[in-house]
Amino acid sequence: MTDDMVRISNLRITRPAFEIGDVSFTIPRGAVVGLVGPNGAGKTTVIRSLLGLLTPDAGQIEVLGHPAGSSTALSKTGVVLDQPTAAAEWRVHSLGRRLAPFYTDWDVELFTDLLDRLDVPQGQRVGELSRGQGVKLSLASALAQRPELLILDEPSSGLDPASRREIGDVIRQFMVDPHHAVLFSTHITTDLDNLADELIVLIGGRIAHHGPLPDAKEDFAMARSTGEVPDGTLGVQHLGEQWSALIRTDDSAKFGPEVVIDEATIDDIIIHLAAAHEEATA
Amino acid sequence: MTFAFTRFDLMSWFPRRQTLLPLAFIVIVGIALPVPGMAIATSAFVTSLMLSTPFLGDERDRLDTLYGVLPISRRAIVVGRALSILLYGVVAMTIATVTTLSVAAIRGTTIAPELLMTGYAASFAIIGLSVGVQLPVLFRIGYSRGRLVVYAPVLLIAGAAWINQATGVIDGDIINTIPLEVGVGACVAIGTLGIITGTLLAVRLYTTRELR
Repeated sequence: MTDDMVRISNLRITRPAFEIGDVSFTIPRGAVVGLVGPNGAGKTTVIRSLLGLLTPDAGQIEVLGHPAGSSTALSKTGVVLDQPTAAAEWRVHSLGRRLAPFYTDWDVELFTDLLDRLDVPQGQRVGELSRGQGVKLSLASALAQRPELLILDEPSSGLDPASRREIGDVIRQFMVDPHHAVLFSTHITTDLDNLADELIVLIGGRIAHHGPLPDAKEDFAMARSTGEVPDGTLGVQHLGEQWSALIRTDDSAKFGPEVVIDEATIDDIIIHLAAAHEEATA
Repeated sequence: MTFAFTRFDLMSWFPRRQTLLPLAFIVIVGIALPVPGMAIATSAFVTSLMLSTPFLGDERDRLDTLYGVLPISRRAIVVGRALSILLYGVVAMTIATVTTLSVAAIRGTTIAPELLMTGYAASFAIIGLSVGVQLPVLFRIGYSRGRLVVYAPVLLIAGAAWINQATGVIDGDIINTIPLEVGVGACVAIGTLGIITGTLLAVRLYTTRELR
């Protein structure tokens, strides 16, 4: 049993529409890792590589000590994608019957309990479910496999706050077992509050920041002022005469009293790191 | 896991109207056309045309992605799919046989066992050719881009027959002199070769396909 459930080393993928460059990270056992970034940053591509759906041009990916996409790795990996992968005419309850033969640890009772708890009508057809119900169905089937690793690709986009909270609660319950781990890709960064241990910010196919979630908020701060933009700012954005930018917290002392310094949210970090990336690549 | 996938696959696409209606068409052909063996030949062409149906479902319902995250190898998926198509062919041929024998009994005619044997062998060859041509293409590029290949085996056979008729390369009388065992053996060999080659090629192509 290794401590790292996922190891990605020097992942490179180049396709006409996107590029992933030199991405490396690990997901330790017992951790919830949030993967955030703007649209087109490469979050879904990294996740698809992890699942073996895409073949990287270079680099190594190990999931639970096995090559990405291998049957052994996938047998212990629960996956929730942005849309359910099930035929529209299938009944909700039949999904369990269809998937169970592929998993030795499939838990029929857990599947039914989760559907009840998450208010997914079992007699309904998959095509008749709302987006939120579809995500909950995917989550129930992913957890009924009794996985060690749970991978979620933007499960909460388009969901109401109550549904997002329900999904968060289910993930917290999954993480009660210290041998489990979660990779959670999301646009809605508030979903990661009180849930994620680590944060990976992906910008332009590269890791712009990786570290414990509380450290991200401590490492960066927001600076706002008018007039000339001093050195040491990242991703400057202008609104009229006022500018705002991300700064390293350690550099706060370098700015004069005319610069207002506030706490940075995860959204601030993503937006300004993305702007800094655009400036650098322009 | 191959059989688990075959079961899953059949549960996905078999109990659909668009899959079951062509089976009814075989019965209609068997009743309406008084040519012995016509229903059996129809069952082969129906199976050939239906081969792409599961691939349509894969694309429409994102089942390709589901297969990608199931803990089974891509080889098991290809072999499982080939088996489910062959099972559809067996069901189609069984319906054709029952229709042929029932119609013959009602009309008071007899069907020569040799005719049935030839019909089965020719049908097997057609299905084998279809698997050999269609399976690799559909597994590699999916339904949308590969759907025209569905008609390739039928066009290939019809084209060969037309060219033969126009040029007279193989005389009909010569075909009639071929012993039954040789004809059946050749058809079985063509069918088997098509199924094995098509499945192996599909495994090779599907293994390297990127799933979205």
